[in-house]
Amino acid sequence: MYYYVDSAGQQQGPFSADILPSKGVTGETLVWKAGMTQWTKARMVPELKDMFSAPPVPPSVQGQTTSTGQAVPPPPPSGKTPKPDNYLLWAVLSTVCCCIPIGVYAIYCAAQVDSLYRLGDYAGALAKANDAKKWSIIGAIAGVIVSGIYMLVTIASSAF
Amino acid sequence: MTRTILRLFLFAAIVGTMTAVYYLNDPARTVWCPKCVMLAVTGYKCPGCGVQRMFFHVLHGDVIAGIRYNYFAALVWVYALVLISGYIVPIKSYTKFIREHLVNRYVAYSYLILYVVWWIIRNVLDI
Repeated sequence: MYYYVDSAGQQQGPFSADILPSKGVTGETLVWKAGMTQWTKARMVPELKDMFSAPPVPPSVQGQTTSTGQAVPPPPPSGKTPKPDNYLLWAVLSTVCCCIPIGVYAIYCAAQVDSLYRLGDYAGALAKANDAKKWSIIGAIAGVIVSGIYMLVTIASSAF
Repeated sequence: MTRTILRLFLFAAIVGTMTAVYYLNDPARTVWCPKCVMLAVTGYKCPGCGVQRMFFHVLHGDVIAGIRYNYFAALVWVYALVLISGYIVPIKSYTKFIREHLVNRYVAYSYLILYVVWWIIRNVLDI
């Protein structure tokens, strides 16, 4: 399973090797999979080089072998991966207008995005950002439903 | 692209509907605006109590009267408008500044602390 860096500098994946071309990956795209020490151009990865028919190129002599052996992709080499939107705006609005406990959890998720991003766990940060978004929306919907039911009860009881 | 347009449309529809509802109805006098469930069940105000009445007064041009219903929410609205402007204003450095400094973890945790403090204070002082 490979990760790759798209044209916007964002990490994508994991995908199996055979569908990489359909994702727009070319021989020049940087890819990574568990066991590799560095992001590498796809045409220089032995397993992929036949897929991206380019002349073989000898590996660069950089001597960077600081593999930790963990299946976590290193940060994309550009070093400029933008911090994902943590949706704090929606979490905050959720706490003021809608459902308190769910909104508070959404804010906690939003804060975690920042923490994980600083640790270099980009995929984790992205996942937390999606959590923050998800719980903000759930909080808003829950708030509307609970308030709506209570409103209907009020209307019904005042009618009798 | 169609997704973006759809979202903008949805956003405009929600804002438009809320503006109309809170312009036409005084939440203090109508059954058509939901009352706070927490206040009804526990007798304590929630941190967001007063927001609907604030909308009503602000939409009628009386900002001061609106703010008095919920000082904390008034500040949150100012903060929210700044963040919303970050989504709209197409200046990269502006968006980046907001993302770096206005929505980071310190702001998020500070917000949670202020939120709880406000919750307690408003019930103690009955504001």
